[in-house]
Amino acid sequence: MPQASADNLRFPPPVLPEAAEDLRAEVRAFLADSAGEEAWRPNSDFGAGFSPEFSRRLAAKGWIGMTWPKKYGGAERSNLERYTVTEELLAAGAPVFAHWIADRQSGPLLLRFGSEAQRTAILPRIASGECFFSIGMSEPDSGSDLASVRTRAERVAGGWRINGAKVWTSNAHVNHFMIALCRTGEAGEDRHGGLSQFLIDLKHDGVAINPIVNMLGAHEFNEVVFDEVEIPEDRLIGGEGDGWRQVTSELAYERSGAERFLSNFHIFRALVDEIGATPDAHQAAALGRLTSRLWTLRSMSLSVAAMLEAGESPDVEAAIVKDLGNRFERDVVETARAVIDVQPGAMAGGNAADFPSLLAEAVLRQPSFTLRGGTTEIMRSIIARGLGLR
Amino acid sequence: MNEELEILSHSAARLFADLVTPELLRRVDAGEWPHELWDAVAAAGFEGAEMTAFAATVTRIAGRFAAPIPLPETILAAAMLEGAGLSVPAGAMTIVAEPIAIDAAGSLSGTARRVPWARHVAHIAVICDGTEGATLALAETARCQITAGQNLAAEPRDDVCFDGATAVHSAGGVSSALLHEQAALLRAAQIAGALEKILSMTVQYAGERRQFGRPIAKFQAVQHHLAVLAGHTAAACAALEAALASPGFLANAAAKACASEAAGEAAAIAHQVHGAIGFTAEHALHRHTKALWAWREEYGNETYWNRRLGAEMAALGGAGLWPKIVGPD
Repeated sequence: MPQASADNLRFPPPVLPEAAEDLRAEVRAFLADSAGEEAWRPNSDFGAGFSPEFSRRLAAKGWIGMTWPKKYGGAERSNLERYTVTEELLAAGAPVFAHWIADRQSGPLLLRFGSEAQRTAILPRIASGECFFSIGMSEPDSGSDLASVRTRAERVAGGWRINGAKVWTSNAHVNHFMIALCRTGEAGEDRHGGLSQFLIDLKHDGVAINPIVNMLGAHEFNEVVFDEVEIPEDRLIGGEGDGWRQVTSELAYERSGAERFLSNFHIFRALVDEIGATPDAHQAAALGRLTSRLWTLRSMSLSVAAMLEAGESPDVEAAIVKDLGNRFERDVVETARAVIDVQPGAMAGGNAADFPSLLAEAVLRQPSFTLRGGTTEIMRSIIARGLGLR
Repeated sequence: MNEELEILSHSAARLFADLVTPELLRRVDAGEWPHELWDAVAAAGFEGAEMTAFAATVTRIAGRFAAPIPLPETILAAAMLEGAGLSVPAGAMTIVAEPIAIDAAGSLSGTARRVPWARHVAHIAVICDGTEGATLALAETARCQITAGQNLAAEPRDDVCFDGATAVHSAGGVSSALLHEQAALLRAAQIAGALEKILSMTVQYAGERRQFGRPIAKFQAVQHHLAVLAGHTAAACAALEAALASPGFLANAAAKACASEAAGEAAAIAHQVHGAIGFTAEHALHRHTKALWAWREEYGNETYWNRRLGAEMAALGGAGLWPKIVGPD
């Protein structure tokens, strides 16, 4: 059994390029300018803020697909510069979710595995903030066990026919495309064979999008049913049967970003203001504990961004960031309620920006943090594999 | 980590692996000074490691082996003396960061509590409060009254009464707060090393120990314990490395707070996975877990540093929080 050592759990702190700090100032100025706009309201969760208008304005600044080649509408900036933009947006609670999935994982996936025609057709539209993506992984009978997906793509003359259903699909009702993981062949011994990814137009005939209202009463995710959906040959992404390898590379982007610990940062920020300039000893310790952990998580997440930039596959490191980050997000909420006397819920005569209202929404969103992007249990199993235990 | 630090890490690991033997630890437990270990460390020049990256690197490796010597204390004493323009004596030293009184003639008075390794060293670098403000004095332990005490890991933590002692020499321009912060950072480095050690011991043990017909590492409950242990270890190490890369109060405070919090969580998991054998005197695990439980308190535990950090954040207000987290400290 290989020995766990510090060497397979390293998070060397990268140095941000000077350009990144200039960019940070630019993003802050943009956000300050936007603060009065209709589309802009700080969110209780980064996934709650869907604003095509805000996304288009970001695109106009060149901040969507910013690491991609210029010929696909990108700006050829580094991953660390992109990180700087995303962390500033998240810390401000900006409504980023419309373009988020496309920018974070669908675009990079197409860039890496897609055909030239797919890249040319799709990437410039993502980068201009006109084309939004959904993730097509989970199914009614496949949650954590992604290899068990049953949505089937069969070869037909000139293309593929898709039958099955995806679930927990955020914003399928307003997005343009889904990248769906489908079964195209036998799973084989390791269960990872016979899977392929397809680019599916969510407006296509035979695609039914059924709302699933979440426990906050909001319609954010959906069930997406494919009934004899016939798509052309060129909608296969990458190689037939390469779906598992492709999807796992996509997940490293999904798991290590700043949204895994900053998604409810505005609660932390509001808590600091609620407590005021003269905290008691208990409040000071609680604020400090969140501060020291956030500072550490940010350094770890930045380190993973640098590993991705260097072409490494930091799956285990990303899982560690997500596990620690999700615990931090939960502790933000739990700390807030523990150190001040507050009843979460709308106050009579209050508004949605009041601390009790913000906290109420944050309490209700907590359960999703340790589920989305892979559950805590899956993260710990990935870490255990990294330690040589599995 | 750059190449020089990598080389330092490897040579320190070799030295400690060779010399920190069970036999040496038994002699230290009986009250002996491990002169052969100290002499080797001095010959390698580790006790003169430059602050902060080199010092923290060699201290982290010492922590990995629970090396029973005042290595961070000597490094800090030398760095402070040098910084103050004072000559640095040979041999192991220790530090006193809580100010002691000094008069115009250089006479010291007062008692410092829980001074690391005082009984075994010849010199102490002492922060003093005098009429001229904070000064750094070099004191000889031979002139002090030393009362033996120890920490949880049985490392000497002695009370030192300076009454009647005179500074060998002294100079101004020093800061008690800075020494305290740096001492905390080097304890965080020792903790990081000890965490790395208990992680690898625990993973190895889980792979060897068989129950219900298979290694306990094959049980998901145990795997998840180890994943959490790895997370704590990774966080403490990452905080340390980040603090070395971008030094400042926030970084130092966060590094010690994260390390101290991780220490308790990690030690509990390491013992849980080791079962009863890890609770025996014979097994090596307690060397490292006792060190973790001791070091997490020294030079400020997580509550101390978090309180100070939290007070600073509260003073900044919500709008200042994020710029402080990402900004230059």
